[in-house]
Amino acid sequence: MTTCPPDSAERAAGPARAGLGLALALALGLLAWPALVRLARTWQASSTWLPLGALAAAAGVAAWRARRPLAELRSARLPGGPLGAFGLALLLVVLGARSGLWQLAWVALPLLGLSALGLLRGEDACRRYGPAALLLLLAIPPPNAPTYALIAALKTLVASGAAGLLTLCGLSTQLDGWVLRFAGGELRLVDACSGARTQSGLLAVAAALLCLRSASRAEALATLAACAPAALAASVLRVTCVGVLYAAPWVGAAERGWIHDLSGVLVIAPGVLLLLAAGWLVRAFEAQARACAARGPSPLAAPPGQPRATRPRATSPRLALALTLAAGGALLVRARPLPCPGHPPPPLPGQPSPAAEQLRRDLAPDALRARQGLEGSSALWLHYCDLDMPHHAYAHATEVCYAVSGWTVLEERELPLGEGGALLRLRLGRRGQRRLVHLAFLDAEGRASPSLVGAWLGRAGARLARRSAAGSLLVLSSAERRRFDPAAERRELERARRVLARLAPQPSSEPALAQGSSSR
Amino acid sequence: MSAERSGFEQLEDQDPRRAWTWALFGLILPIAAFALDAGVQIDPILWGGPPGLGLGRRTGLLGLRQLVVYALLGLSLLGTTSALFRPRTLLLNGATIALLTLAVLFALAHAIAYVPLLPAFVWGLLLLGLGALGFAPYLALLAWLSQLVDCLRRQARLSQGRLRWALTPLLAGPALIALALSPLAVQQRALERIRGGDPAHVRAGLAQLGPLARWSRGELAALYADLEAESQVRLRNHYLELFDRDVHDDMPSRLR
Repeated sequence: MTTCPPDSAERAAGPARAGLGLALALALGLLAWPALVRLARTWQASSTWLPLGALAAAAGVAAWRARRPLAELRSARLPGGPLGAFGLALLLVVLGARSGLWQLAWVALPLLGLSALGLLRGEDACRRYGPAALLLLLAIPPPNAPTYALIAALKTLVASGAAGLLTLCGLSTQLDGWVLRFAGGELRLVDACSGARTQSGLLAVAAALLCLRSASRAEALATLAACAPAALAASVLRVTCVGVLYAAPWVGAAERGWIHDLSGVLVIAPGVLLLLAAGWLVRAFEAQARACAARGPSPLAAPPGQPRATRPRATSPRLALALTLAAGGALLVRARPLPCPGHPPPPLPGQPSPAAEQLRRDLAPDALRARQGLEGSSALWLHYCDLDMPHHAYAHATEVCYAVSGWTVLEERELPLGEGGALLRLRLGRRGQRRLVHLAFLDAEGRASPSLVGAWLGRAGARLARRSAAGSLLVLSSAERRRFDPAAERRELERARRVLARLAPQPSSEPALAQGSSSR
Repeated sequence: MSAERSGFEQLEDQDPRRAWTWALFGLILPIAAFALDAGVQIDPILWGGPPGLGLGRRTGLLGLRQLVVYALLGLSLLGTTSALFRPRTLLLNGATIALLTLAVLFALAHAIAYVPLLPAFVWGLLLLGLGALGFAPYLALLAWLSQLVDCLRRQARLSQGRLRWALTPLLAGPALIALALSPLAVQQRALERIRGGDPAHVRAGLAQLGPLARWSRGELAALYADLEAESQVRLRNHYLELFDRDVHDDMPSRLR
């Protein structure tokens, strides 16, 4: 019996492995192409610097880690090994592309690339380039509906905090929705004031810091966990400082412009300082714990992590399996996702609203109808095929529009509907005026959901199960008076119910999407 | 065997220049600044209203706001004094960290509120030298922050690296501030209610004030001019009952 020496076996496997690698790269390219195109369009529509920053940071970290000796890099392992991670990422990409939930596919793309690299070059490559792949996740646009729910909560926190601080600083401040009114000026909190962007920026800074220097697991966790409170604190500080300066007698309209812009740039500084402080605190305490452990055995000190011994595995069969999976996935993705049916243009009560064109410009729906009724009442419906379409990058819940226009939500209540589902009633107030709003999001089966996040989740579930690809239909009726008595409230509720009943889809007909129906 | 050392001996242990810097900027300067401010009434946090020279015209009466701010100042000074003595037990050092966190936030609020006055302070510095006191919040902020870092390092040694001994006092500082400010928030809401103008609102607002009404004399007197005639009568009666004085006598002169 003769045996080949190891080096000649490696030489023999070389070209086969290279060919398999090339085929795998091609299959992956084909598989990921629709998700990548969609991702690029969303980046273009959102017009923020964050994706570019994350890409640059990932490239920088990858280049830096490529030059470091492997022994200096912390040991890390993909869950389930490269093949398991590859399978999981593949599944997510296929699911995302087939269901229209592109975030699933986008999140899986870095993992797909990293696991493919692991299959081609071994687990050491994952160890080297894993942090860069993690940084790439920061370039993934999050889904609109939950993101805007989070932004709304953050804005409420920032507005309350800043109003309290401004009052403490001697400026008697009134908070109307997300508008801070004080002697000498007013501040309208837009999405940029929520701290969400600062948070994303801080996350990128923290991730880059952690990738470039060796930090313990506790320090890394503390630094990352500090991002959210640090961004929130920095935003409150910014809004307060801007408010205090706006009220100063020597600050005119010209100064206000540069104060606002400069504070927007400087807001990152206190956030970064807080991040560094959190990291410093944990590092100082860990060093002390290590010093104590060195003096004697202590349960506090964790043993230093040893790199795991990896046993050599045959690469080519695993590559071949990955290639088969990727090719199958690419074929599955080629089957287009379900098309979005249009919504019938049903009649609504009242005259066409003059605000329809502005609503169309501001909200960019796929279809819209707005009607003006008597005594300041109005009704509208908006249809979105896909809330996460690139041009809907700023779609948000209805309450957001009211709060940013100075309306304070006095009461928010879900009212059950007879045939299942519920609608949301908002009681709003602004300087002696009261507004009563009833709204619901209708799905394809005519069920009403009172929240945008609920509607988004329902739609995502229906698309994942390939049950329906119908979009979201927001139905809203509102009335504005000086005061509402119980009889007027009941009337408004009945009106909203009638509108909803009229809009519930009929099982027999499904006409095409009605573009520009508001002008009729 | 080493004998127990007193706080003053421990004070001698540290770099004397650093200790004196802390004492000057964290203790003496804030006291001097607040003493001067009692006369000129500049501090918007202490006196309310937009920043500027009050010169006794703000309220003329010490109220809840002043009580809370002086209490916060007292706690801050207690924290800095305690830090100067370098406490050697976990609990004492933890309490010092909590007080210094409060002090840092207190100084930060002042630093923000004083930003519009900085040009005036620079002129004051050039002309009279007294403008230096306007920079007291910024210098105190640096001193208190430096002391806080020092205390945290010491806490790491004392607690043998257990992080909860730092996190708990660090969170206790903001909690203390929230606790101190809660009466002010109640007062603010009650005064807003009274400002509603309706006689029923006046009654409900005074009920909401409760025991805080005793400390809201200046605010009630300033509010009186904004009310409608019927509400004014009601507030005047309540005022007489509470303070045994006519509200007209306590109204700020500009409103009479």
